[in-house]
Amino acid sequence: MRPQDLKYTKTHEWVKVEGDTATIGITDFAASHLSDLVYLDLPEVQDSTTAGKCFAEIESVKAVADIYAPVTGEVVAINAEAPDDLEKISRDPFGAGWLVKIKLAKTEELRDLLTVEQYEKFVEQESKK
Amino acid sequence: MNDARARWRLLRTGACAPAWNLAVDEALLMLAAPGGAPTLRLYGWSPHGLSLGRFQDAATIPREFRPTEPWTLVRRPTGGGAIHHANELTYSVVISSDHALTPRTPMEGYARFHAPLVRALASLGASTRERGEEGAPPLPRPRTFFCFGQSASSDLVTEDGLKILGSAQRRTRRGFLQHGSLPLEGTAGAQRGATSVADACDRIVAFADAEAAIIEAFRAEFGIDFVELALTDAEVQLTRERIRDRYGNDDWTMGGFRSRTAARRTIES
Repeated sequence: MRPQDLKYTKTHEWVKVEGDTATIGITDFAASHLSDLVYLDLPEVQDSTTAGKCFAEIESVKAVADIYAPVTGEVVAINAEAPDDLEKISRDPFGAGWLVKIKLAKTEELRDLLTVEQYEKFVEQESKK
Repeated sequence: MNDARARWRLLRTGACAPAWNLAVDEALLMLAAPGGAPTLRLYGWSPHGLSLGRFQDAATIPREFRPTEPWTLVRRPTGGGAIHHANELTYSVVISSDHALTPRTPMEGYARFHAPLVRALASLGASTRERGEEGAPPLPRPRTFFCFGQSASSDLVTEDGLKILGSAQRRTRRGFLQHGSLPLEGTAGAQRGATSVADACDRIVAFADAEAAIIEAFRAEFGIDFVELALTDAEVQLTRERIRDRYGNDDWTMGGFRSRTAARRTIES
C-alpha cells in the first residue's frame, strides 16, 4: 500500500512535503526492479537540485540507474545511513529508506507531481509493457 | 528485403582509445530519443585500457596493475568491477526507454542481450550459457577488483564454467545502455576463472569474424535488419565533451563520486 499523502514522479521517486521542505526517496516499484542494491551516491548537504535533473545514482547487479530530483531547491539533509545499509531502501522505501531532504525553491513545481492514484495507474501501464 | 523487419543501427567503430570508447557509449545513451532505433555498437581498444566500474575506488587497483604499462585508466558509466581491455571485442546496445525491447529490470536486460551473444559464440564453436543462479556463487563482499575475477548469475560461461563474457548497464530516463567484454585471446589481466574465445574455440578468431558472428546473431535473435551508419556530428561533439568532462578527466577517473558518502562506502567495502 503506497502512502496516500505523498506525491510521485514518473521516474519513480516520491516526495513528502512538510512546510518548505520535501523529503525524497525512491518508490517500492523502483526498489523492487533494481533488486540487489550495491552502492548509493547521494549529493552533499547544501548542494542544489533542479527538478528533472539527476541528483543521485544507485547501483545494483552491475547496473547503475539515475535518480531524478522531483523539485528544485537546496539539499538540507541526507540519509547518511542509507549508503551503508541499502537494505533500508529495499525494506522500507517510504520510511527509513528516504534519501534526501530538500528546501523547496519553487513550490509551484509540486503541482506537476502525481497523486498516488495517478502514480498507481502509471505503474500499472508500465507493468503491462 | 522484408520491409516489416525492424531496423537497428549498426556502429562499427573499430579499435579506439579507452576514453573515446566510453564517451561514445555515454553519448549514445544521452542522445537516445523516443521512437529512435536501437543501436548495436562493436568496438576494440587501442591502446589497451583498464576500466573501473562506476563506483570502484581507484585506490584499490592492485599494485601489479598500476605500473608502467601503456594502459589508459578510465572509469565506466556502468557498474561492476574493473576490466582490463586488451584483445577483446566489446559490444554495446543502446535503446530508448520507450522501446518495446527496453528491459524492465537489470536481469531481464542481461538475459535479452546475452541471448544473441550465446548464439554468436555457438556459431564460432563455443558452447556457452548464462551461469544462472544455481551455479552462481554469491558476489563476494567486498567484491573482487576485477569483473572477470568473479561471476554473476547473468555472466556467460563455457561448459567448464569459465566466464567468457560479462556485461554492465546504465539506465537513465532517456534510455538504456548495456555493454560487455568478450576477450578474444588470453584472459586479460590474469583474471582467474575466466577464458577467451580463442581458448573456448581452440582457435584464434579474428576481430572481424567475431564481429560478423555477433551481427548475424542479433539479426536472427530479434528478426531485425541493420543499417550501418557513422556517428552523427552531434554524437561526435558530445563524445568530445564527455572526454573533457569525464572520461579523459582525472577528477572523474580517480574519484567520480558525487559525494564523500559514496566514496567512504567504497573504500570501506
